Amino acid sequence: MKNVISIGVLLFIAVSANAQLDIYSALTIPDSLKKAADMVIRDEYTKFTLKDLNSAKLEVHKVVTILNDNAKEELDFFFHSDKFHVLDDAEIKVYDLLGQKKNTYSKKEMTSLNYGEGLVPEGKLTYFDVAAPSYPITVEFNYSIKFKGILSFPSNYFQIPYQAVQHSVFEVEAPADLSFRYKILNCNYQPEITKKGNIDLYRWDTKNLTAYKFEKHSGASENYIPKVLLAPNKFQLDEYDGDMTSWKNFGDWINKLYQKTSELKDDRKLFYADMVKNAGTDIEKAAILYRYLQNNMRYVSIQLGIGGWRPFTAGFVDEKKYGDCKALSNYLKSALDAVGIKSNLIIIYRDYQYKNVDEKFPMNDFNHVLLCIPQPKDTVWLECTSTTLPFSYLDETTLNRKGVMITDNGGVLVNTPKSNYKNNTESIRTNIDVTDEGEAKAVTSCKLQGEGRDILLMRFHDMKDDEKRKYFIMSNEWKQPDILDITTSAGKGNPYTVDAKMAYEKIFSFKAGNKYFFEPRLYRVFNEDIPETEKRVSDYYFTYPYQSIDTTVYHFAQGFNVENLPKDKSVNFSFATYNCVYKWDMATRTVSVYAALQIKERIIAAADYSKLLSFKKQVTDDMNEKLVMKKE
Amino acid sequence: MNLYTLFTTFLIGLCLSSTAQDKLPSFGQVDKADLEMKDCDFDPGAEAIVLIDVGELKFAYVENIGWLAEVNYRVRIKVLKASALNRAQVKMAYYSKNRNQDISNISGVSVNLDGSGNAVEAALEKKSIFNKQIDKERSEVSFALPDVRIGTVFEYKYKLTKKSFGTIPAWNFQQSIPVRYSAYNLFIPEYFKFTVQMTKRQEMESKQDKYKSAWYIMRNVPGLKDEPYSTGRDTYLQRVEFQLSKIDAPNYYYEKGTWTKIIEELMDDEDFGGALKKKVKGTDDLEMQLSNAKTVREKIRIIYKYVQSNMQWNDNYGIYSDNGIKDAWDKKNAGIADINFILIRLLQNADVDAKPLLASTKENGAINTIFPFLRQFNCVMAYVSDGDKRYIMNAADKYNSFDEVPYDVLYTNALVVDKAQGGVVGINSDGKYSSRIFFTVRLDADAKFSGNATLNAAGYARNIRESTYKSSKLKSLLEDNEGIAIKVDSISVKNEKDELLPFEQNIQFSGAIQSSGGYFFLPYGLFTGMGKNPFVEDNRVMDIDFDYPKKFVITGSYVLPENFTVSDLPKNVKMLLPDTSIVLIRQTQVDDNIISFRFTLDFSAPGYAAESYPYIKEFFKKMYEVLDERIVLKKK
Repeated sequence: MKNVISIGVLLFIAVSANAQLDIYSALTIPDSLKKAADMVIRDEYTKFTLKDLNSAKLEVHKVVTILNDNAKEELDFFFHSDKFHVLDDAEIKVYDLLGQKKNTYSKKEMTSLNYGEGLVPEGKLTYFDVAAPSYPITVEFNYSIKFKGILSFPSNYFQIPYQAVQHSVFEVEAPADLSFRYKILNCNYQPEITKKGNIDLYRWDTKNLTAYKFEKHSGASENYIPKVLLAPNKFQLDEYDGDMTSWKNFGDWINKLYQKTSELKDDRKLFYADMVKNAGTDIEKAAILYRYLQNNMRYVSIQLGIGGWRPFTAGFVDEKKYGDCKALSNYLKSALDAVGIKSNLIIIYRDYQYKNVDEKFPMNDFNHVLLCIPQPKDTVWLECTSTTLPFSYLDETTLNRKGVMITDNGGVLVNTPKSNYKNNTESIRTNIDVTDEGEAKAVTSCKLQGEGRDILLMRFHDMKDDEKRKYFIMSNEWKQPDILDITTSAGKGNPYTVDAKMAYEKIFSFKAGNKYFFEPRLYRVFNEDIPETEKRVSDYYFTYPYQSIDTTVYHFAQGFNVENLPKDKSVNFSFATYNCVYKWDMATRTVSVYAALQIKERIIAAADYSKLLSFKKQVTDDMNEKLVMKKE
Repeated sequence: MNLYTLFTTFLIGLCLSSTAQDKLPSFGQVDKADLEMKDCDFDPGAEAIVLIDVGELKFAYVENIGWLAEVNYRVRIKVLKASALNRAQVKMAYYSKNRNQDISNISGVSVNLDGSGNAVEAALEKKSIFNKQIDKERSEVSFALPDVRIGTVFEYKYKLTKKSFGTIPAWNFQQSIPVRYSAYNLFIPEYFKFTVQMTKRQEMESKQDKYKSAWYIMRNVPGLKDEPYSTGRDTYLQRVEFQLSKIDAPNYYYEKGTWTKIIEELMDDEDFGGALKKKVKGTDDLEMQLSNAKTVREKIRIIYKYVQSNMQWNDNYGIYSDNGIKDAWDKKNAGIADINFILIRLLQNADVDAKPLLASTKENGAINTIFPFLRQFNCVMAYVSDGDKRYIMNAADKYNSFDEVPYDVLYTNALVVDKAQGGVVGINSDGKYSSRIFFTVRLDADAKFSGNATLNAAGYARNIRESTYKSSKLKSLLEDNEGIAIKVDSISVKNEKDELLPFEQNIQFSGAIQSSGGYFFLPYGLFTGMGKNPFVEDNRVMDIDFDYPKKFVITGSYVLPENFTVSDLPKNVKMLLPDTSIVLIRQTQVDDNIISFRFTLDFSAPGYAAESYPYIKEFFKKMYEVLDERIVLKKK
């Protein structure tokens, strides 16, 4: 009680001393804004001022109260400067619970270093991590950024998940003759537009927004955030003028950047022509060149020139045998050209969780380049950074989305193929010989296609034997054997196979008297994280659709007889199915368990979430069933 | 700690015998056998082999600059698998401030076999070598060797120049991939005397040639990877390290000798002893709290908690102050040294006997007490005395109690830095990790249940559990059980503020038990958080480190409804290692409709030598089998 009084008194003093302190003290946040919130924007003013084709300024003033540890990332200020974006000034102020200023940090006190995963720096990172000895804590950020060259405008997020907003203003100021476009997403906050002489001013003023949640496995948070996207009509980056009013024009700009990057030497052209001379069709030729790329070139990240938008020349890659996604794709395009096959670059956003691309709102929000060879049917798609994908396969980081195809006539928005669970098939067959002591020898053969294959080729295939054993046991929660001997496909076969021979001192899980309890199979066939919740708001996303087919056969020694086998199980939903059949063959003393799991759809509608939970429960229950054997 | 074998450490002076270095193929000249090689014969399955790894260090006196250390490096790698391709992207950071270090004379070459079996070279071009500044102090040279694929042998060399002469870089003979030939050559003027420390588990040749240069050579060194429950790979790498002990030059004499001398230097150092003299301002609230303290112990506790809650650790280790304790206190964010300097300073202000303690965390490796190498340490903690009672405290750790020795320096040696009473001390403690779980589960006629549990986390378990709770991860941890689906309906905690009492969690939960074929299964190990067996690998190189002794006690009872009965009374189990350092006991009892059991698991040793691995592995396998056992019920 004592504490409460003293805080009250102090608060009174603080408030009466300076009414301005209102937004700096965590005690003055209305209760309605604290609900589901990890942080509250107290006051924010962001202004983007477009000056001309290639220069602009972004000014930010933000006061935010961090309520708990979940929002601690908001305490970290960082900015990546590059050739085109420069952090002009920055200042951070820190306030305690009562809104008393504790510290001020200037840009000088921040840490600056060059960053870049590749060989050359991509820019300069300036950062400062505000320490929060306790919560709540209020932080004020003031900074401005200069744009020296423009390809994209900044978007404004009105509210990220778990963030409440007390008051926030976003303004865009632009010369009237240099028009731009905006698109409001996931909300309906309309701007107030003022035209004054040659200056247009757009102002979004939002108040008292309560926090919203972001559910696990619901795709990219980008697709839920209330925001306004901005895009230029005309722009200039370095010396390269561009027009963003259509995908066609964006493609023209890319074409300009790629000019004079595709020449190969004549002897190399002959080399490629010779390489494919025995191939009958264009597809066969392309497959040969893609395989050559996969076996000889390697991915090295080098962001050079025009903000990482202009590639190394095809000749460089041809000679040095390395490049980044643009350079490798552009090289393969040139090699295909050399044998008379026309292909197109695809500019795309690569991630498992894709962002929606709006056909009617051209803007640059991409991070990757692919190649495609258009065909009347079954266009060939080539991921040039992968050494493992089969010819004309994309993985889930680029499937199911729109990308910009670059043609001689500019850009065209195209769809990459949709995922298909049948492409991601895993089939496992295991034979287990059980002695009358409950020891066992087991042999298993796994065949994988698609994502499962790709993951194993990238993470598992090159491991040493002991690491492979560990991965095998850990990744699928395989019952730990006493002896394990693994062999795999020698190369990058499709399907990829893993064969294992195992020995167990004790194959059953436990016993009670003369009853022995065995698992239906030696690993978990279904292992998805589907949170239990009463009410699901957003759709549920599996990483990718797939099917698993498992056959597990126990051969029992004399003495073991079936006391009980689980009932056959069949679970059928439009988006997923599970079927399991249990059979006992007295003559061969064999229990066979056949299971087929299909996750047919990648995205499950929120309305179907209770069905998904029911699916999970029924499959899990069946996996937890035991084969009950009686020993006589 | 006698359970650990100290891995072989040798200390010798730089007096060596015998012949000089082996003849190596010249740069870019690769044997056909190496180009055709498909696997590593002494470490099968490796993704690549370092065929040659050579460093040659010389000291040179340069007019107007002084002594320079110059190291010429040469690395030759054979790529065996695709996962090693990124090794042909080379990045080397160096300390470029004031041109203290510089990298030059870089050249590189890749060698492949062409279709007709001839060796073809591709040279690294100068223009493909990048030199970028990382921050104010460091720069990085980076390049990608051309034409590297599976089967390629690539090679590069460079020269590193350093203005300082007081240190000789250590040399790792061992890496994550196998090394076929590794040699370190030192050519040191006779004025400089260094002592040498070797860490090895296989033969290391030391030679001296006619020019008085010393060679350290190892051959066929297998790769070393991380292993679970170990103090970290770095402390196990086979290597050789050096420390300057004496300079005996004309007109110059320097001897770095004793711990006493090191302590004196440290106390006079502006960033160590000097840092401690600075004032920490704005601690009136602390003074208020201290005015109520009746004993020294209470004072220690108050000050420790004050610094612990006010300061945020930036994850940096180190033994010197960064920008002084004033700046650290101002920003409330600092490295381990500054946070503990503040702690020491505030303790001293309150007339508590507090001294800086130089320590080396287990991950940093054990220090060698015989040779006073300052570089062995990686952190400062507080060494506090209250009569006969000693406290070792690290206020950078958010949850550790003032009364508990920080686990990462437990059983190590450390240096108390004090001109009068300093010296090396061994850090010991009888602290352990203790987890006690009591639960009652009431089953209904449909095999659904409700239950309640009390979990007590004491000792080292306390801070781990409290941090799980504070980061809102406790619920999901408690719901993660093998063989039963548990939903935690409520959690309340006790003694959160009083770190001298166990952290008590009271939970209500519900769920349904698993069943099959008319049988129902009850697990023993609820809420243990023991997960899956970590020891699945066949072999092990590093010692097993459990950090501290651990004890788990689970006391549980299942109350059955009328219509259920136990199918077969489970056996009592007692399992122990021959030396009784791990004991597992499970006793089960059935009275009417109540099954009660007690499950204790006592690890009385904090760790084991690598040679014990087969026994530990076997014990863990059996232990997890016991944990996986179920009480089997059926309906009447």
